[in-house]
Amino acid sequence: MNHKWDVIIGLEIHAQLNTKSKLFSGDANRFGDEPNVNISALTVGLPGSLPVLNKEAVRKAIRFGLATQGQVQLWSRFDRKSYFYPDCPRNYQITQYEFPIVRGGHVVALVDGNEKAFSIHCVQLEDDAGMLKHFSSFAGVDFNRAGVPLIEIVSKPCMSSAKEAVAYAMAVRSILEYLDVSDCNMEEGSLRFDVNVSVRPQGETAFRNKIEIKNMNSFSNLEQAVAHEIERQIALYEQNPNEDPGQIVPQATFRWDPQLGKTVLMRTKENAEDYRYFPEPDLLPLVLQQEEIDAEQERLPELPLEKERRFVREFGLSAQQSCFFTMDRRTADYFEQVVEHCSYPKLVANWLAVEFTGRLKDQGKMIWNSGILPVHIAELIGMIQEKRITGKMAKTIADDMVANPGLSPRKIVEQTAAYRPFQDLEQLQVIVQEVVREHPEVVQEVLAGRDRKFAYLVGQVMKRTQGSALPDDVNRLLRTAIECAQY
Amino acid sequence: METLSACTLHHRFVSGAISAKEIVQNLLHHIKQYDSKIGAYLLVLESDLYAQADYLDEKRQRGGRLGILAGVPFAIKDNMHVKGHITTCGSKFLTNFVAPFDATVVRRIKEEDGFVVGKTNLDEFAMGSSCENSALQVTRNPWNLDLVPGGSSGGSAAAVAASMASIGLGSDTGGSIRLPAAFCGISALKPTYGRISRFGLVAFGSSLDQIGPMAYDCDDIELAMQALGVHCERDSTSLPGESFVPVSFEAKFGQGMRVGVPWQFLEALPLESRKVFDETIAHLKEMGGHIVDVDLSILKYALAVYYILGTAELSTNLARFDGIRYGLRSERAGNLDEVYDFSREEGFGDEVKRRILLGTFVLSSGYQDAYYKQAQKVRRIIIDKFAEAFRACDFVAMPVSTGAAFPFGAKKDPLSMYLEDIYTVGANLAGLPALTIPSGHLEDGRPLGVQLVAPQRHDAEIISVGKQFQQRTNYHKRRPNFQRGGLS
Amino acid sequence: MTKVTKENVRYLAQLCRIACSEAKVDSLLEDFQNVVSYVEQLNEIDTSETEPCSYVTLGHTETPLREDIVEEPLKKEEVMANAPSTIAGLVRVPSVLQSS
Repeated sequence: MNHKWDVIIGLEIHAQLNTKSKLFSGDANRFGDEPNVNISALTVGLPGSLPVLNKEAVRKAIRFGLATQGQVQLWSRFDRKSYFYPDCPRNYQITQYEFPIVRGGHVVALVDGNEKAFSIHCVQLEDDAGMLKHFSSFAGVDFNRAGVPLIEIVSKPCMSSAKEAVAYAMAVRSILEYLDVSDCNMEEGSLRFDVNVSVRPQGETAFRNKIEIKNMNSFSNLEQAVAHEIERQIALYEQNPNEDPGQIVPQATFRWDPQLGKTVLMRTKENAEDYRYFPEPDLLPLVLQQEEIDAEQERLPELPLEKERRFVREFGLSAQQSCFFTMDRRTADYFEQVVEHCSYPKLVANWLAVEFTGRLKDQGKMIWNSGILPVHIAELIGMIQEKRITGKMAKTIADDMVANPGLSPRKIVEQTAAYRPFQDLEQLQVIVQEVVREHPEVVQEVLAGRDRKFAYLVGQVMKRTQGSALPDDVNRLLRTAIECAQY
Repeated sequence: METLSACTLHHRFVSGAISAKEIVQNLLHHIKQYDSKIGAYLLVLESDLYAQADYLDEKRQRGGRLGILAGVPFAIKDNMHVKGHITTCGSKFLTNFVAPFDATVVRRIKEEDGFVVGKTNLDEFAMGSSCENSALQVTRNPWNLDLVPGGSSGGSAAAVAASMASIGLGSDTGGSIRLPAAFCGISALKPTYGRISRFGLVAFGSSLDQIGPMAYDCDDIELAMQALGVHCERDSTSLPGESFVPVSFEAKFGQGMRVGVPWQFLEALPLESRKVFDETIAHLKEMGGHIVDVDLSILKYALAVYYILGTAELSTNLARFDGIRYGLRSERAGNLDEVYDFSREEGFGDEVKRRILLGTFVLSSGYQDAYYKQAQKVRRIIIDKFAEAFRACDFVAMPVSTGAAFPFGAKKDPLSMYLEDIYTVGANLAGLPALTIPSGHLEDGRPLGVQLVAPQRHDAEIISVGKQFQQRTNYHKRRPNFQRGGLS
Repeated sequence: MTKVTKENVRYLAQLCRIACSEAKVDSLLEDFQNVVSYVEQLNEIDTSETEPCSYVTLGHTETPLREDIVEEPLKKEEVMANAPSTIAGLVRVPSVLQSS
């Protein structure tokens, strides 16, 4: 990154709330149904329809505000935001422009292993638009999504790199997921971002024009888009040092094109909509009681940051490992369930994060929906620690567990001869003797103190037992054999 | 056919003196005879009426519970939904729009066994004061067919005045129930804002609109309010808690009533109208009224506030009419932009366009503070001034309009038409209930009305005053002459 | 005093998506100016100490909340029947121009 430039980034995250019904009407809030079945008079913008606010949506917004230490406003209200688009059933959205339900708050995220706090400006309740589906010569509108409750989480312009933007977004996602406030599913559109990026020379205090980028539907897209835009702006300014910066980078909205790998202009400020916000007359103010807010505070679960720190403290995990497990509540819960039955949390962490996650990725699954029981993971690790199986065996057993979720490692071992460790110590002794006899020079080196050569001999024994001999047995027998070879 | 008040008709039906079928037959016969000249109805639900009549007669026969509106025929302004039938709003935009649900008021009428006779004509999207802005047909004043019935609820007013319904439902945003009621010589109430549900009413000015009953007399108004003045869960602005409950004049005003009159504001009232208004005041005095001068001079700004706030709201309420999901879609439209631009160009009449433009203007960037926000502040002042007045009086008496019904085409200039609402908009801006009752007739027989405006939730109080007034006077009993004159 | 120009009217027509021919703009202009001038009289009033009014009903100042329960939806057929053009269960519109 260019050190002469400051980067200023703000993020607007739209999270669909996972209520049963929509924000202002009783039709179902469900993804994936056939088009235009979850509709009501309000959702389709029929004349004569009126909005009535969903209590649960309000609750979820309050929970998010509390979880981020925001000030939940006892009085907030709704506004109409006017613009014409086919997916907008009334050609105005009901949002909270002037008096949102939550002001302030912050989110702590790990950036390159360090904790950093990012500030939230406000959280607004608003209704989602329908979906416009594009075809070759026409488009079609599905109103199932119209009216779904959203919270728009507006950050302060406090991020200064693409990495920070992603770290913040991931941390927000975790919090939403922990609170069970949103499905946070970027593919399904229940979590969306718009990002604002501007740069300025270090030392300059005024803000230069910011570019709004839309249409990034994954964290990697977000990172790429932001990084690309930073470079683009810096390049433009550097190429035109004597021009008016406001002309070089005029305020505009771009969209991220993943195919082209760049941001593409959507509209400039001149073409920007005049939203003509004014108070929504069909709704009265949203008035909350301090008691209900306090009650929600009591009901908050342990949040990602707290859990992350606790995992480090309680289980001795590294910050990175802890972060891996606590990013998603289901993953964290799974981890803890395993640890309940197993005294080796660090091993659990390794096996889950590396071995199992890797294997399940191919199936498109996560550990928590793999079907593998936490007790079975604990069992597997227990068997390794008890030296009933080798590490290598354990890996193949893991393959089996992934292929046959629900099957316990004990059963797998019972059913498969190859997994039983080399039990016959007499036979092992024979092999050890063979190896010692065949490598007299190496034996001498070990006796001379070059202990590293010992490993070579272990390797030879292992080879002849297809890796199924227990390391302890091999070590013991080999040591004895070598000592005897002195004589 | 003699005019039967809703209360009388209901009692006659319940007692068995007249069958539901007879009511329907008489009514339809009457409509067929006269509505071709008056043009009150856009749609008459003939087969529904017969079906409902059979159902009611059978229910009465077997002693089933009859609703409080049993036997009462209602005319519904065509900006309220009756499920399964078209709601046109008097506009070319919606001539094919079939309502998939009942408005709450229509549901209540059905629940109380009332008849839904049909949908009546109105100024397009309820914008107008004469009913001349309807894109679909002309409605004439039953008192004189060359005169307008008033608007925007002209069809419902004319239907009731010409005995083609007992009760008409209208909607009032700036006077649209009260003005036509006064022009047609009938009684009507714009209730307290939130008293009657707006669910199923096509919105114009959301913070101003109220549905209200128009009828032969105040007993009928009271009956309608008992059925319709209830809380509705589907309307967030609906008054919570207690439903409408009638009160007795004796209980409330037996010891006298304080009648506020904003004399200063009425200085410009033409002589003829002033004469009638003075007579009304004299009657009120005789009823125990103590007349108090109140300062409502702020109301000279009320129309400006109304045209800013009302148009701002309607500009967004009518944005949904875009040719995408229902209603007219222009056949000229070749691309998406044209679907919006041409459908709205073709679907809306000039007055609607004017108001949408104005509403867009007062909300637009750079103008919102000077226009919209300023109007919101003056609204606050108007509310405060009314509150001040109500400390000195129980209700305010004012004319409904400067004059009586005028001829078609008399007010071509939009601004002059807007000025018809000068006495009525104040009640909408402050959410106050306002009752209009016939208060006299001009030399040429044209009816005039007086308006009683009360504090919020005092609907029952002013109705009781209206009832008392109508016990002592006969203005409301005069009807347009059908056999000759009025309908030649 | 705001002077309303044809440019203003054209811009507003664009904003509220109503096509207006030049003739229409001409015919609307005068009436529009008259109404704007009329409503401007509000500027005579000193409102520096006044709060704007957004909600009118006394004693009813909190929006009611509804339970998060799924209700019977509107029948798809009824809604689709009102749509000017449908295809495969979607409301059909002309293709959205990328530039707009």
